[in-house]
Amino acid sequence: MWTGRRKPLTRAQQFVNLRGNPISRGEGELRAGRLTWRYTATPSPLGRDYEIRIEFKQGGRPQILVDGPDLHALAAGRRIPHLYQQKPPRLCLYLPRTYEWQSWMRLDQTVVPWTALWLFYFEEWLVSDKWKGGGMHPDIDDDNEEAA
Amino acid sequence: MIITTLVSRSYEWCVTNREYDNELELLFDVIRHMPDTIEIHPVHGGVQWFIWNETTAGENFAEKWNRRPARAEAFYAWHERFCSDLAQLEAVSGLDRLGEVLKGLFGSRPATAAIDSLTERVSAERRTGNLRVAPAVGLSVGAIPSSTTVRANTFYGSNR
Repeated sequence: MWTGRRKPLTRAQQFVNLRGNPISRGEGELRAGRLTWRYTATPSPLGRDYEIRIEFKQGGRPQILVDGPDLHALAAGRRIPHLYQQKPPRLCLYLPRTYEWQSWMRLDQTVVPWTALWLFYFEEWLVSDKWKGGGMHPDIDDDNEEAA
Repeated sequence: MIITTLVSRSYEWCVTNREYDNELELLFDVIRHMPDTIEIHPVHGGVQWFIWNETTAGENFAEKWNRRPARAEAFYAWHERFCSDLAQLEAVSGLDRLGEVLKGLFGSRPATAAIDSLTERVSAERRTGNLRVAPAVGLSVGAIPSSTTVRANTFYGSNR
């Protein structure tokens, strides 16, 4: 019977999907209730290669971090927009408390493409100093929201 | 007329004979191969150039080059410079670096216009749900094998 609720994907299922999708091909580990996945992302044919790390705890929300290159060095001291955390940079990819990301959704089909999109707008922001990717801008108190 | 003819012939040759990972690679190769369809015939110790008009038999677009070879030299010098500029662009990694190189080559306004145009295209495709991510390429449009659609999302957090 359809109950309207879809089963969350397990860490192992997310792991297999990340490994199987060519856009997130990399390596990772399942350990102590946590999934860590590392891969190289490029936002466009003109873009750099970025070392991305996904951290995901069962029942939690995925965290997407950029391990390299140093985004702050590229930003030359400017405060980078749409980050939950400046160091190491943790990307704000979707609106929390909405349905843009839910636990039944595959990471390789959500946060991985969104990461490429974020990086594209980041590189553009480096040039123009304007964030052209749109988004919601919470009060400063909401900055610690636990989300991707 | 000469430039458009050479570009269109080069494009036809490139898409028929080669495969490219993205549109940019194709563009660079089209420019590189532009002179390939110019016929060069040795005449009296010099050369003559022929770029035949495919729709009017016997019309040679390069006729003026044969009367004033300096025009041919100017074309080849322009093409060499253009290829060298493209090589600089090709070596660039990062849209921001591309912006800097474009500014150096063409000036600030054309460079900004080029980056804006690219950004607007990505944003438009994103709005209509046509944007995809392809392996080793990143954001792209169209049915690229092994690519994944970019679902709708809203970036969160401070925009400053």
